[in-house]
Amino acid sequence: MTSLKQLDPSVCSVKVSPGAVVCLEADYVGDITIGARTVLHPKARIVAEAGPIIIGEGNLIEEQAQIIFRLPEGTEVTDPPPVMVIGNNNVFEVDSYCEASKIGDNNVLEAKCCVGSGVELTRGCVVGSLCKLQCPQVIPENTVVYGSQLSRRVQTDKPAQLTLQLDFLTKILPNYHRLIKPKKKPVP
Amino acid sequence: MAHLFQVDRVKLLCSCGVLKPITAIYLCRHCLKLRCGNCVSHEVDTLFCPNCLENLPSTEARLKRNRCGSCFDCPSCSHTLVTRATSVQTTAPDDPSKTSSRKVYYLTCTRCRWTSRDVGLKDQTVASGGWGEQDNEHYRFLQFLMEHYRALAQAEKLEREKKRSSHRKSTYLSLSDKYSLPSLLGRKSLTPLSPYSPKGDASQISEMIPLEASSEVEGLPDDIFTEEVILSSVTNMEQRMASPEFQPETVTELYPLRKHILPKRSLRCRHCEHNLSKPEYNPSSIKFKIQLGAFYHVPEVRLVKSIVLKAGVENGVQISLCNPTPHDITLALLPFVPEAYLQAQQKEECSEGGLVTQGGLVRVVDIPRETSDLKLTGDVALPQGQVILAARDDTAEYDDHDAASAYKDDPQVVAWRRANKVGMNLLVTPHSDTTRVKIGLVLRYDYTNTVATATEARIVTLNVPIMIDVGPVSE
Amino acid sequence: MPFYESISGIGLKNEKNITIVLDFGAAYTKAGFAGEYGPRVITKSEVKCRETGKMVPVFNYKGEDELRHHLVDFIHKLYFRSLLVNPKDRRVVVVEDLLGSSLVRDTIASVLFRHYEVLSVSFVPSYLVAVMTLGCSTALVLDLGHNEARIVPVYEEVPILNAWQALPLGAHSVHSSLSELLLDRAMTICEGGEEQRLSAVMDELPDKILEDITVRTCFASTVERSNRLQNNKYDRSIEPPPPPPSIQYPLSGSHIMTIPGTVREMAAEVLFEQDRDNLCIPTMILNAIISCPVDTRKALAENLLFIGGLAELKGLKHRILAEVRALVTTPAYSTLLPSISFKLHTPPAKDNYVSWLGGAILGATEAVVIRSVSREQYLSRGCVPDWCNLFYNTRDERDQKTL
Repeated sequence: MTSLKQLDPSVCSVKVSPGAVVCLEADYVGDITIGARTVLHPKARIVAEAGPIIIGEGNLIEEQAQIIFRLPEGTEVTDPPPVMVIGNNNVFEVDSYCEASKIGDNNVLEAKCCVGSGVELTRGCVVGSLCKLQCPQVIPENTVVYGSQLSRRVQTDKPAQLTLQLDFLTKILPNYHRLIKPKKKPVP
Repeated sequence: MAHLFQVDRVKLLCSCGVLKPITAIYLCRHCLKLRCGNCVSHEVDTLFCPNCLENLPSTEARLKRNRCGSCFDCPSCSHTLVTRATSVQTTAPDDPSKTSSRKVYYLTCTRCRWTSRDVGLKDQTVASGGWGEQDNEHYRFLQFLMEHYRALAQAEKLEREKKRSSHRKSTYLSLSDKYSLPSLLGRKSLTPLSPYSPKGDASQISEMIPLEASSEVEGLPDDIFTEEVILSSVTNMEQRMASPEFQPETVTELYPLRKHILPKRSLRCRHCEHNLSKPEYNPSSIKFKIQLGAFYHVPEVRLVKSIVLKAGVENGVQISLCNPTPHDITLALLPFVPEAYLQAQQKEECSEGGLVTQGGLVRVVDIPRETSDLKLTGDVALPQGQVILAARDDTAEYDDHDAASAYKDDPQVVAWRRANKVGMNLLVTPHSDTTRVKIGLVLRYDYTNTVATATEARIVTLNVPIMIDVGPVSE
Repeated sequence: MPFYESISGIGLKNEKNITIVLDFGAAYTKAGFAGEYGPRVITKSEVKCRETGKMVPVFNYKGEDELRHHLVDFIHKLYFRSLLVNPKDRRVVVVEDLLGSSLVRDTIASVLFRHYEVLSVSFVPSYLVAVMTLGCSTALVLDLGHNEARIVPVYEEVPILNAWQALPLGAHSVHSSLSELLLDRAMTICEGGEEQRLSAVMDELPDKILEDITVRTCFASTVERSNRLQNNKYDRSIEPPPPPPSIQYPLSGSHIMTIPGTVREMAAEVLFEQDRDNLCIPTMILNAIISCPVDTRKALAENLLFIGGLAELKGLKHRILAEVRALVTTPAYSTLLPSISFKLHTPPAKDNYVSWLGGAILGATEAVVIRSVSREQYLSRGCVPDWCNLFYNTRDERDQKTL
């Protein structure tokens, strides 16, 4: 009988808001704050090495998604440390990799995409599958990046509503996975 | 022991001179020669839509301009479009308080998230068949132009026939009978003697109103020097060329494209006009009605192991021979000398060429012979003697009886034997100064012709030249 | 045009198969059916090389055999991917360039007749049929293609071949000038965020990217601005005009290039810079008119026609007209061409397939039956008639009697 995984307080500290569904089986490093109604699947990876990560509300982080906050080598640690802010209603699909320091609302990072540090996603952006954005830039609102040549276009459709999917996961996931219990008082 | 499925290592020499792997060669059973994609004639057999797998008869395809009636491609990334439904609340016209919902459909691309609403197309009330077509703005003028020229050409033809019947001796205009371009230049003066200028039957030919030239041309828009260009709203070349008649410049003018259909091809030998490959009619079937691939008729030669050869010494290379036919095959390996072989081919062609024209047909079937790189960079010592390959028997794997003992094999010739396969050892000596060793051999085997007529022999001996890329030479 | 309708449904009266019309270009090939109002497909003239497996332009060849292989593969792709008809026993109209290579012409004929067994082939001159699309009989046709810019005047449906003009100024020269300017002046943002000169990052830009930049962002500037830019080059004290805004162009995931506004304007200037023989596109037009007989000059000047892919560049037509009008007042030309006015036609099709359209109009008439070379004729003779082949173009005794 393998021992149950416990969160090691010396490695990470995860503050979960009420209403969020955060699986125990994911990898956590550093200071992480997760907002309400966010769903975090098992085997996700959140590494907050360079500073705390604040994840907003209504996000969906799927398996093998990696959210890494790491400063490039050679930069000094400032005081207070920099914070990575992720907004609301974002979707991090399976095996996506995100190092971006600032992500807005309603973005979608499709499967196996890679967003480097220096890239800033604003609102309603879609980074397509297998797209690697490394160059520091600000992606304008509602931009879709797709294809092997990283073609871009602006989408006019509103991003799809996640509520149905999030509700379903909130009901089903606790039956199959262990969760991190939310704190009694809500996170300010 | 890893078999090498690298088809490019062993190549057969087709009768047209091209080297191709066994998977790309066909055997014509009537000419008893190898044919490849280069020397057969391809024909379009049936047409189908790759998305809905619906068959299109050729007349319908011509009317629909080779496009499917119900499937669409995204104009922005050429992925297949998906029809999505949403429900919309509408109020009944007579009773404002009653609201009913009905389904409306729109097209969307899952790859680049383009939707039909982006270009302003209204959502359709029917799931398919509601999407209309764009109109070419010059349609009327072009129609008029075509009719006009058609009438002119008819008039010219009638006049020509009149002249031919009236003037027996050749006239100035008869120069334009046989030759197209020089007739235009052969004119000695530039007076309007051209066939397109209206003369005679002016009543039949309607007056052509030519386009007017204008002295002012639209210049650059003024804001081009000050306005920012948003790259994602300007179309690129592929998007423009996807609809050649319209070539939209901005993304808001991109209209969904009907999906282009694909053909199924059948192959036909040029000499004997028999089919070498004919697919089935059903688009979702991958089988063939006729498939005379060399893979099913010619013993397959494969390299057994991937080795690096040492320069200057004899290296042992093992090849395996596999019999795909349900008859026993007796084969022998003979040395291959490219020059002698090509000369023999040329002689054969000359004698054959005479036969074709003797029949009174002007049908010329020869396409120019290709020359391939037949340079041998290694000498090979082939095992002497004939080898019998057992027939292909699908039940052999379930049969415990060891059939291999039935054949007495010379261990010098045959290294191993398993069902319908045989392994043979060759000794390869690389030439000096080569980096990759290529050897050639001629496979002589007895082919049992199942469609032989009464006059032809049932068992025929065929020679197949094979080039094998053995491997790199180590320093 | 309604989806299901096309004139091709009617076709020629005695023909059961509709004629195919092909227009081979150095960069793009247009293919379709006669009687239709637009080509079925405009595709890049590229094939997979048989030896290396990479995509190469069809007309980059080292020997006759390689050209033949490329054409066999390319025509196969056209027939079996886009046109979807059997090549056998169908007529073909090839819209060709009068000033093009004879080797290419003969190889196309040989491939079509021997390999694809077509019924008949008719080579029509592109300049002549382009004029047909206008409904006129006279025009000075300037074809701005990929490799070259060519002029052949057509008067009353006869090409005046001795007045031909050709210069190697085409889309590829605009691309190479753009490449030079970018490598010189553009900056890129790299992965780390630092800005570097483009020349430090890469040696040359791939053709596809240059074409994309030209099509989407470049334009031909006005005459005054160009003069000011030129003067600024020589005398830095004269103020250059304010440049148009620059553009961020993503080169790949790891580089974003900033295209300076001046580069957008200056890339097309190469078409108007006079070379050592004082030749450029506007002079080409005037030289062509001068080489024509005197009584034709007025009609030709008032019926200009610009075709070809490069003619679609924003502002190019306006600029060429302005330059020509300025040039005709200079002493070199004013004595030869007094009081001449220039007018430009707009063809009923996009510029890059006007000559295809002309071929389609011709192919839908009975004229194609009369003016083509059939397979039997080709195989018995071994070649197609050509204007430069003296066997077909010398005076005959019959001519002497009729004159």
